[in-house]
Amino acid sequence: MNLEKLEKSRGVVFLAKNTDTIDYVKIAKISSEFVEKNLKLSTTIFQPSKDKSTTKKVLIPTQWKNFFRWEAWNQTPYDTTILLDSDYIVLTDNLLKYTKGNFDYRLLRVMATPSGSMESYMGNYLKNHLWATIIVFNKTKKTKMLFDIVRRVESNWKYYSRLFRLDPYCFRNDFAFTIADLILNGYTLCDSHHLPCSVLTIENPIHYMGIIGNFINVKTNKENLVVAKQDLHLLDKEYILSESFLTFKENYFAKIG
Amino acid sequence: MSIETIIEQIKTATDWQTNKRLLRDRTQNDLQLPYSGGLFKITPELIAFLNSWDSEKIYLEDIYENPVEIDRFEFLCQAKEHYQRVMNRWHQEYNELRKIRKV
Repeated sequence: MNLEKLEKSRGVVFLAKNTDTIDYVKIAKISSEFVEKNLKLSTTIFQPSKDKSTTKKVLIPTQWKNFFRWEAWNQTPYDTTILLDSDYIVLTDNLLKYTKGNFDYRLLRVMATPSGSMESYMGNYLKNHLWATIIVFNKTKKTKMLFDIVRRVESNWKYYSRLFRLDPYCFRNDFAFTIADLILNGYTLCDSHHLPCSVLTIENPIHYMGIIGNFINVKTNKENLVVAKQDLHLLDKEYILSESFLTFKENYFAKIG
Repeated sequence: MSIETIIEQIKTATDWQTNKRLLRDRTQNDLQLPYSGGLFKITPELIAFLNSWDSEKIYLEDIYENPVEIDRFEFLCQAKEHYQRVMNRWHQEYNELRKIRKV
């Protein structure tokens, strides 16, 4: 009996592609340090080498390169993978419990902000779409189908955007995974593939992050939060690359050892 | 009392309620416990049920609406320990948050 095979491998994958203004690879490297410290899992960062976009007719109005997430299934070296956005800062081991048990994949359903749940609508017919910020998956047939459908949605975005009454010029992974999950579950809304947790997202530009006891102080241009230690999704990518965040990281690592 | 002072107090009260709610939300996530291939939210009701049931093997519905076979005594011990740990932490951090509010 091959005992090595009994223990399934687990790891975290980041997909990072730099834009003209944001160094996503550097952000992913910073995030991977937090992952290795708190989850004790190995991390892998994939950088698409060239623009493999197959949606030739989709105009990209910003530098936000949001493609290639479907590649994660083929690229990941792990049996159980946590696919994260590079701006998701792992400050606890909370994600580990969602890698256990028998499941194909788990997608994030609730994104919370300091003012409550983030309401985000997908077209006129589906509200509260899923979020591709965190995807936990095992390498199974069903998960391969999910990623294949995501690839198909991306390749045929013009069609799917019309089908679901979405903006044809704004492809989002969130929408692609929501559509794929919907299709895979027979066009019914189903909770069995959702992460039963919420993720705190800081939307506003951050001025400062620090540690007060067991809490994290986050000062933005609109609020002064004292947040219990938990994973944070920071939309202010420039702050993650700043000296202030580097100081926070060093202080955080010094505190947790 | 000046209007600026009133605004500052309202803002502090708002921040306190927000921070308190964020702490509670974090705690609700922490109460989830994986066991025997399922994922359960540990509640006082679940602990009471496990305590009162008389057979050692039982099937419980988990968060994902799946029936999971449970070793009652083993799961009860884990559930109680987990609940105690999470609630202790919540209580401790709640008190710490109250002190921070006054800074």
